[in-house]
Order: sequence, then structure tokens, then C-alpha cells
Amino acid sequence: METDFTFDDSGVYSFAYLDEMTKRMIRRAILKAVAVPGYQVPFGSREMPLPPGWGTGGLQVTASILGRDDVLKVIDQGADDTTNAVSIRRFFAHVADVATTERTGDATVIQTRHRIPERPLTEDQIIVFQVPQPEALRRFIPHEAVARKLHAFGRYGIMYVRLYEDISRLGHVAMSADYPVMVNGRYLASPSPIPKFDNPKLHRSRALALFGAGRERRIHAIPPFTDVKSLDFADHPFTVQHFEACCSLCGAQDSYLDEILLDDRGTRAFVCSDTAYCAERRDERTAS
Amino acid sequence: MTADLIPPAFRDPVHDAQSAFRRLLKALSRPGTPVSFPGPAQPPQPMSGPLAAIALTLIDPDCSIWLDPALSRDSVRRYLHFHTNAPQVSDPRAATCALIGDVGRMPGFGSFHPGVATYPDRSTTLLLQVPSLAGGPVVRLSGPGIETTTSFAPRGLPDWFWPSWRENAARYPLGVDIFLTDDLAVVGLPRSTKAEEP
Amino acid sequence: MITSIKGGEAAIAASHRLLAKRRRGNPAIADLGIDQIREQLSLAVDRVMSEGSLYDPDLAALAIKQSEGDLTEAVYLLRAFRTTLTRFAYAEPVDPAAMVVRRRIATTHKDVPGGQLLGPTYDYTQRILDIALLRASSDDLSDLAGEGESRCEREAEDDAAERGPHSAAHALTKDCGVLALADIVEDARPDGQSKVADITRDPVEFPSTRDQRLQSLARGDEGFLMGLCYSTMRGYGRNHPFVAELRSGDVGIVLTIPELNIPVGIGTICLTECQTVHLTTSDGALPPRYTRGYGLVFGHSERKALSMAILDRSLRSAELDETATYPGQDDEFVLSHCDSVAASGLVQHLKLPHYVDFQAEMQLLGQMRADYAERHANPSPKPTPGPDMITEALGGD
Repeated sequence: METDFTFDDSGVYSFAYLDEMTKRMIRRAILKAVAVPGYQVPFGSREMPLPPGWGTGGLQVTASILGRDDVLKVIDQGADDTTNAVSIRRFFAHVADVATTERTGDATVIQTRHRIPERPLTEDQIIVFQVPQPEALRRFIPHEAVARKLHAFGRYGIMYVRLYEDISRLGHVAMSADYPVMVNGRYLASPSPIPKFDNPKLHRSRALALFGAGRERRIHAIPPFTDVKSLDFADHPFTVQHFEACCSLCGAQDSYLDEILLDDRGTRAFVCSDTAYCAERRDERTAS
Repeated sequence: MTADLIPPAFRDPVHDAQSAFRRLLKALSRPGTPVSFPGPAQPPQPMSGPLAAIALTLIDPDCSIWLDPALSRDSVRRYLHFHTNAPQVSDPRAATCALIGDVGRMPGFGSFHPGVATYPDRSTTLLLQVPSLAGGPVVRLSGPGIETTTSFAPRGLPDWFWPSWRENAARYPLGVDIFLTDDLAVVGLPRSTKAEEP
Repeated sequence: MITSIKGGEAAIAASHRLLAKRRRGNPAIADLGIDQIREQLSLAVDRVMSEGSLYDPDLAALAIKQSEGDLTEAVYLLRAFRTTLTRFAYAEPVDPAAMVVRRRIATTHKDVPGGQLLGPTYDYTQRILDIALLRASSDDLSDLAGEGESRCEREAEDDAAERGPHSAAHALTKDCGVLALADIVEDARPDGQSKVADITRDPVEFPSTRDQRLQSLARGDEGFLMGLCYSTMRGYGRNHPFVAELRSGDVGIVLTIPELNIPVGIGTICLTECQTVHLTTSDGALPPRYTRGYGLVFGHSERKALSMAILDRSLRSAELDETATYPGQDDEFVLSHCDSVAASGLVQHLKLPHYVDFQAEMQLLGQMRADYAERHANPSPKPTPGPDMITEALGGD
């Protein structure tokens, strides 16, 4: 495409864009992240051909793990065809010449923003999250040095106090996405801005989860079969979103739904946010 | 082959390193489960192919290495210097990666860097070459990456290894992470893994 | 009827076509050449090289053309390209003392060793639109020497002609003028570190070191740095700067080839260096004296070099036992927010779809509004948590 970035200068860019030394640096960081689940490993994030804040952390993690045999799926908001997902998938198809898919079950690597697919992931899959802000404490503690000390000593009282203030004032915790989790009983972590609907999918998942924050230069990980507990209290247990409606396209009642506004009088409908899940359900229905 | 020739590294530096890394990643995310691990041809003695492959995958000028006496030979040093240009240090605590060829005589885990409370990632990663990843005394592993428990029975580890590993795990989130290799495969042992001898 | 929304692929392709069309503008007007941008928009090129951390006037000019003159976007294009370059060696530190200066001023004394050299500057232009420049074709080059040369060479030549053969410029040293007064101005001391940080490889840790700060400031956004510098001068920070020296010109780049161990000159680059002095009395252990701020940027960028120097000094408060009260004294605040690429990325990411989290928040809003309505319909208050409940909450540590 003539209007695109100058990727067609074959030989100018490395496989998967990053040079080998950068990949090695990121790979070392990923291994540390897996060894200490939930701990944010600093890494020398590079500038990527997408702006930071648009998934450069996920992009760098994916670029460092991706190989010729991989099948890549890219989703944003659960959908394969949102502009950002299309743009990232095109990037990898171009610089890594890798096979891409929209079917969750066929993918070996899934890069995602804001969702975890509805279909449970398997041991042969890696899910890579794009993370705008990896520091769960940042909303109370802007200073990195202070937050780092609290992590070092596992002192997360301030987070519990904040959650309890919500409960006493509003009756429940006023957080609906990026809901903080405790990983392996040790590190408070941000699951990235997934809806809390998706938090339970992280708990003892069969797939490895890698989280890349490019602008903030951090990588963290949740290995398979790792305890991931959404913060709560005995008298106020964690709950997920519940939809009264079902998907207007496939009828699913168990999936996270996007709201569609049909007119300016408030008429609306709901469809699956996970477009691949929705399409597969409709295909099955047509086939049967 | 004459002693002066440096054996070749990966045939395809980009894709062989990627493939090797994914195997290491799999090994570390499934502790105790051997992952087959092809290595480059003819690494200098006494390095096994897999040990050479891990080194080529992970180390470079930004990653300092320490070699145990068994590996402290000119042939190994020149091989690693030529292919990775990694700084070779004499203090194991100063190393990002420690390569150990003779696991029976390896120094205790306390000789390596466990990281610091604010930066537990600043620890040493140990690459251990063992005679075999199977056929030795059985330990039961549990922790992140393991669904319930898994059995692991490497041969050739010193007696103090598993008791000392418990101390390493007790320092969590500080501690060292280990990759064990034989001639065929690699096993990951991150600091988060707990070991029990039956 | 609801259909699933497809077509992102086609929309992106169409958007790229429209962008290309807008970039070209009216095809009846001649296409803008990279050489024209490099030669005639040289300060924009300098800014893009400086914030893009890559000294390459042609590529910076290309980035400006490709981004339709959006300099923040151009900086980003250059940075993204820079990432892909192999770093095969480190040059020796550049020596601004050996700079072939095109412009050099000192503001603390009327005359200083080496002399004042006004050089090219907008400082004393009257800001009146020059209608003559409207007539593009009326280039009168008769009083501009050296047609066809690069701007650096041409300007250097002009300056040489103005200064004459006995110019004192070559006598400039590292610390001259007021900076040579060792008893009242602090030493430009190294802080004892052997290895210089590299913020493009390793993330900055806080509290930061001066090398990390200078590197961050050097690639920081000019507007952001200028605004913060302005705040420290207006009262949000006790900063009393004098410009001890501002110089701009060419310095050589020297590379020592490791195998041969011989230094080799590989070219020259244009730099602007600014040194400020600040009256400092707070440090009880030492007599009152002048402390320094330092700015060094690619190309000719005086506003940036000056802002950088003043912020460098204001960020040394911990080192100099000053209380850091204001944003311009807080290294984490300044360094974490001065990068235009990062800032633009996060601000503009709000244009990405957020259906999922908006829906999550809408649900939360619905729940909170329902609770609110219930509370106001039935005014008996909920029990507030007693102290034991709070203790339980804290026990989660």
C-alpha cells in the first residue's frame, strides 16, 4: 500500500520489526515476569510504529515471542475488526509474515486490548495484553518510587481502604474495569482495562498471560494455573457484571455485550463484544 | 576440527533464537515439565547443545555471565565471547546469568544475586547442565504453572540442592530462577516453585 | 435490524488514501522537496532531530513532509525509525569547547574572553511580516554567499567573513567568562558514576540521576519544557538564572575503533549549548555561590537549550539540599511527562474504541443511581463501618 509506512523496503526492517538485541532484552524481562507473577519488570521499551498508549507494550511483547509457525489473532474491545485490531494485525502480517486468524481456537498467540475471549483458552495459547497503566496503585499514589516500596513490602492497605470507602459510601466498589487483582497471593496487579466480567478468566487459566505496557516500560505476567484473586471482603464478595439482555445476533446469554444505540430516543440493542465467539455461534446454528 | 576454530552458533540466528526462546518460556511457565530443546551443532566441550542454545538465546553485551570452573575453558570463553559478546565476570553475584557445567560442584544459591526487594528481577538466572533430567530421586513440585503437582527426577544434583531450594522459595519474591538441561531438553524452575521430597 | 459491524480494513485503506491526497494538497502547486524543507525550514528540522533523538537532517525533513508539518508526529516518525537502527558503537563524548561557533553570547559581562558573536538570531528582528517573502520567485541571492551549499557551511563561511581571520572564537574553552571564576561558580563536577545511563535502553528510576535527567530533557517536548521553565521563573520554584553562555555551532564526532584503538573523525553535527548560573545559598555546608544548569540540544534550538538548562538546575534540588515544592522541581513529574511522543500517544489513545469499558462503567453508573434513588427514598442511613471492619480491611496487607 503506497500510503502506508515504509515497510515495503524489504530488508530494512527485521523479522517482527524489532532487532535481535531488543528482542533478547524483552525476552529476558518476560522470563523474569513469569518467574515472579504479578511483579512489574522494567524494560527498555522501544518506540514502535504505533504511538505509545496504542498498544506498543503488547506489540513489543508479541514481536518478541512471535515465530513463523504462530497463528496470530488480534482483538480490540473483543472484536477482530475494530480499526486498531485491523491495524495491528496488518502490521504483524507485514513485518513477520505470520498467519492470522479470527478464530480464537486456531490462534497460538492472541494480542488483546480490553477483553479476554469468551472461549476458554488452552495450554498451547499465549494471550498478550496491551496495558496503558500497569501500576494498580497509581490512582492513589502518583509517585513511582513510593508505589515500588509498597510492592516491595506487600503493603496494600491503602488499596483495601479505598475499596472499603467505596463500599461504605456507595454500598459497593466503584470500579468496573481494570479491577485490581492479587496474583499468586503476593503482588497487587492491574489486569489491564478489561471489564471485571473477565477477571475470573484469569484465575488459574490454562494459558500464559503476558502484559506489556510500552509507555510505562513495564512487563508483567500471570503463568498458567496461578491464583488470581479480585480484591474483595468477606461481607462484600467480588461480583461481575450481569446483563439482562442477550446478544441480538447469536442469542448468547453468557457473553459480555456491547450496547448499540439505534436512534436518538434511547432505543438500543446488545451484541456480543467477542465477535469471533458470536460468529462461531451463528455458524453452528446455521449448520445445525 | 582443530581446537582453534570456533564452532558455529544458530544456523538461523533470528528464527532459531525465537524457537528456543518459546521453549524456554514454555519451560518456565510449566515448571518441572521437560521441553525438548535442540541445540547448535558441536558446542565446545563440555557444553551440551541445549546449554549452548540457552546461552545464545538469552545473553548479549547487556547480560553479564559467570562460568563455573568446569566451563571456564578457553574454548567455551571464546565461543561465548565471539557469538554473544557478553561480559564475563568473576563474581557470581555480579552475573545476570550463571552457566554451570558441573552441577555436583556448583556453589550454593547464596553465592548468586537474589535481587532486591524493590527490584526482584535483578537476580541471577542459573543455567545448570545435569547428566539427565530423569532417573534421579523424585521431587514433587507445585506452584504457579502447575495444575496440581508434578514429579521431577533429575540426576546428578548435589544433596543440598532441594533443601536449599526450599530456602530460595522461602525468600520469594527474591531468589534465583533455574533452567536445567541435559542433552535433549530443558526444565524451568522459577523461584515461585515449591519442591517437596517425598 | 442489527448486523455485526465489519469493514475496519476498508475504512483504514480509505483513510490512508485521503491522507495522501490531503498531504499532497493542490496538485497544481509544485511538490515540496525534502531538500527545500531541510534548507528552508531548518529550525523545524532541528527540533524534530532534537526531540527525535536522531541526527539526520534528510530523514527529519522527510518526517516533516510525511506528517504535513505536524512536528510532534514527525518526531514520532523519526523515533520509530531510530528504534530499528543497530547500535554498533558509542562515539567519544562530544566536546562543545571545541565547537566552531556560529553564534555565542554571554549575558553576565559586557565583554568576555572569546568575544560576543551575535550570529543568526531572531532576537533583534522586528516581528513584522516580511511581505517580500510572499514573492517566492523573486529570490535575490546577490547578498547571500555560497549558493548551493548546505546551510551549515554557508553560515560558517559568513561568520568567518564577519569575524575576520583573527577571530577569537577558536580560543573558546569549556569554562570561559564567568564560568571560569572558580571561587564563586561551582565546578562542573562529574557525580562519581562511571557508566553513563542510557534512557533509551533502561527505564529511568526515581530518584533520578543527572545524566538520566539531561537525556530526558534533551528529547523532551520544547513547549512543555518551556512552560515548566517559565513556571519556575514566575514563582513556582526559586530559580534565579543568568545565561553565562549560549553557543551554537558545529562539533566533530569522533569514534574510537575498538580493534584498532584509534580515534577517527566521522563527521560534524550542529549543536546548541546553554550554561546558566543560579545564585545558591541554601546549602549550609558550602558558602553562597553560583550553581549551574546545563542544556545541550541538536541543531540550532536556543529556546529549548535555555529551558533545558534552567530545568536541569531546578531539578537538582535534592542534590543541593533544597526543598522541592513545585512541579518544576519534581524529577518524576517532569521526566515522566516531558516526552511528546508518550504524552501525545496517551492523550490521543482516547480516540480508540472504548466500548467495553464504557459499557462496564454504564452498568456501574446504573447501579449507583439505583442505590442513590433507594437511599433518598428511604432516608435511614446504612451503618457506617465500625473500627473493627476497617481493621479487617487493613489486615489484607
